[in-house]
Amino acid sequence: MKVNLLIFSIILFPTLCFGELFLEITKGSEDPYKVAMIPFEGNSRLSKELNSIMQNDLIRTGEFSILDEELLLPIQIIDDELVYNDWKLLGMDYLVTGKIIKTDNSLDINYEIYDIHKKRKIRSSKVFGIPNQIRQLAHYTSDGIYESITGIKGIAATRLLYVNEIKDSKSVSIYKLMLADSDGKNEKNLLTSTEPIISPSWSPDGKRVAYVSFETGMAKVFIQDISSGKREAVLSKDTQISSPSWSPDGKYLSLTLYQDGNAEIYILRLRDRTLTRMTKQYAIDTESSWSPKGNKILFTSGRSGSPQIYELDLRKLNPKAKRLSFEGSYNAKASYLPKEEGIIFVHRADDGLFHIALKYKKENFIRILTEAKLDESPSVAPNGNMVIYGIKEGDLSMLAGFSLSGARFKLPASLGEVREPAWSNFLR
Amino acid sequence: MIVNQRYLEASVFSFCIHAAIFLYLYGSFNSDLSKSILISKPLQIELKFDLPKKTKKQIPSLPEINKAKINEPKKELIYSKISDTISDSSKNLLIESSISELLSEESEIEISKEQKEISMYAQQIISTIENAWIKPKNIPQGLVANLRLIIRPSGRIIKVDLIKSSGNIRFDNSALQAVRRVETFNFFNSISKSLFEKEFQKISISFNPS
Repeated sequence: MKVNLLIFSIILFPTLCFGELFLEITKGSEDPYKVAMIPFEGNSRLSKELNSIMQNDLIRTGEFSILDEELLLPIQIIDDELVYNDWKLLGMDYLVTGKIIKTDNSLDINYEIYDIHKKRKIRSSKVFGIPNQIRQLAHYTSDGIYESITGIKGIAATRLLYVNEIKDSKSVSIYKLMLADSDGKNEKNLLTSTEPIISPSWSPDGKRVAYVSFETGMAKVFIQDISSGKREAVLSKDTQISSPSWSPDGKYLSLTLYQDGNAEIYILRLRDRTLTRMTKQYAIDTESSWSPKGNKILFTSGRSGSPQIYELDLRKLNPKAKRLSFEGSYNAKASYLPKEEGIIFVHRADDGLFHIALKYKKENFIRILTEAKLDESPSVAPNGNMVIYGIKEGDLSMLAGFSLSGARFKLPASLGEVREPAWSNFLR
Repeated sequence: MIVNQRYLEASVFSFCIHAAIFLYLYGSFNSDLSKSILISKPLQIELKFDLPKKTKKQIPSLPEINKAKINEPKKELIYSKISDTISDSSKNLLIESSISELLSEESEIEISKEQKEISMYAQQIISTIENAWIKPKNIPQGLVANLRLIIRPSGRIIKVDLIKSSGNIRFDNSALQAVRRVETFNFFNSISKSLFEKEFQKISISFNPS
C-alpha cells in the first residue's frame, strides 16, 4: 500500500508544481554520439520516468543523440555475448541496458554500456538510491553513461541557484531564491523577500549559499545553510556589500565593499571574519571570482575608463592586477574554465548588444558564444562544458544554456522572471 | 663558484644554440617527402609513416654510383695518354660502370614508383579521415593529437591508440571518433601485399588543424 502511494505521488508530482521550469532543447551539436537506450527492466512506470530523465540529461549536453524508442531492436545474446551487428547497422555507437531493483526502502539501478564498434562491454555499474529520489538516481546514472563515453565528468547531478521574481496582482514584486536540479526540475525555495535578492553563489561543498539581499534597505551579503535554512549576515558593517564568491577551499569569501568611497575587492576569512583589501583604485572594482585552484581572482574594473576584466595573483605580495580583456569597450562578470585554460564573460559587441564570450589564455582574440540581445550573468558548469546565463525574451528574463560543443537550451519559467543563475560544484 | 656557474650557463646556452642550428640544418637537408606528408586542405591532417626501411635501401645503391663516377675519369686520363690499345680496357671499364649506373637508376625508378604509390594511398587515407572528422567547436587553437592505427590487409582498422593527447578531451575524442567512423579503408585491397606489409600495417596520424 505504501509503495503504491509512493508511485502515485511520484507520478502526480510534476503536474502539481506550477512554478516549475520547463526544459526546451533548441539546438544539437553536429557530431553526437549515437546511443540506443533500452528501457530498463523492472517496474515499467519507474523505467519510463527514469528513461526520459536520462535521455533529457544526455541530449541537453549536445553530445548525444538517442535512438527513437520505436526503432529499438530486441537484445540478442548468443553464447553470453551480445549480438552487435544489428546495432551497427542502425548506426549506433553505444548501447545502454539496465535493471531497476526495488525493495521497500531501496531503489537501485544496475546498468551496462556496450561499445558497438569495439564489440565489448565498457561499463557495468550499480547506483544505489532511495525510492522517492528517482530523479537523483537518474541523474547519477546519466552522469555515469556520459563519463564512460566521453571521458568527461557529467553534470546532470549538479544543481542550480537562481532568483525568481514574481509580480502579484498589484504588480508588487516578490523575490525568491530558488534551488533546482541541473535540468530545472525539483525546485526548492530557499528564501522569499519583498526586496531584491541578487548574486547567489555556491559554497564549494554545495551545502551553503551566499547571496546579496536588500532586505535591510542596503546591499548585504548573507550565508545560508541549505538543509537547515539558517542564515546570517557575513559582516555587520554599515556599508554596501555585494558580489560574494566562495574560494575553492571554502575558507574565504571574496566581496565588494563600498566603504572606501567606491567599490573595492576584499577577501573575508570566514573563520574569524578578518577582511583583507585587495584593490586600491579610484575606479570601481567588483564582480570577483576565484580560480579553480584558489590562487587567483578575476574581477571587473573601470580603471581603464571602461569595464574590463583583470586578474590578481594571490600568491604574490602586493599583487598587481593584470588586464585580460582588450576587445571592445565592455567586458565583465568573468569566471574561469575549470582547468584555467580560459575565461567566460559578458562582452558588448560592436553592435551594442551583450553576448557571452570565451577567451582562451593562449589566444589574443575572443569567441562570441551567444546571439541574443541582452545576455548576462554567465555561470560555468563544473566540468567546463556548459554555461548557464540570463537572457531577455521580449520583456521577460529567463535562463538559457549552451554547451561548448554547440548545443543550446532554454529554461523559461512558467511564472515570473528568472535571472542570476549559479551552477554548483560536483555534488556527492 | 659564480664564475663556474656562469661558465656552465654559457656553455649550456651555446650547446642549445648549436644543437638547434644542427637540428634545423639536418632537418632541411633530409626533408624526405615519404617520411611526412603535410596536407593543407580545409581540415589539414598531417600523416606520418613509420618508414625505417626506405632509407636503408637507398644507401647501398648510392655508393656504387659514386664509385663508378669517381673511377672512370681517373682511368681515362691516365691511359689515354699512353696508348690506344690500353684505352680499350678503359672503354670496357666505362661500359661496365654505365651498366651499374643504369641498374641503380632502374632501382631508383622502382623506388620512385613505389613512392608514388605510397603517396597516392596516403592521400586516400587522409581524405577518408578528413571526410569523417568533425572538428569540435570552441576549442583553443594549436591543438595537435596523434593516433596510431593498426590495419588489416583488408583495410579494417583493428586498433587505434592515442599516442599524443592534445590536452583537450573533446579534441582527442573527435579524432578517435573520426577513425572509428571510417572503420575500414575500402581501397586497401588494391595495395600489393609487400607494400602493405612494409608501409600500411601501422600508421601514425596527426590531427593538426590550424
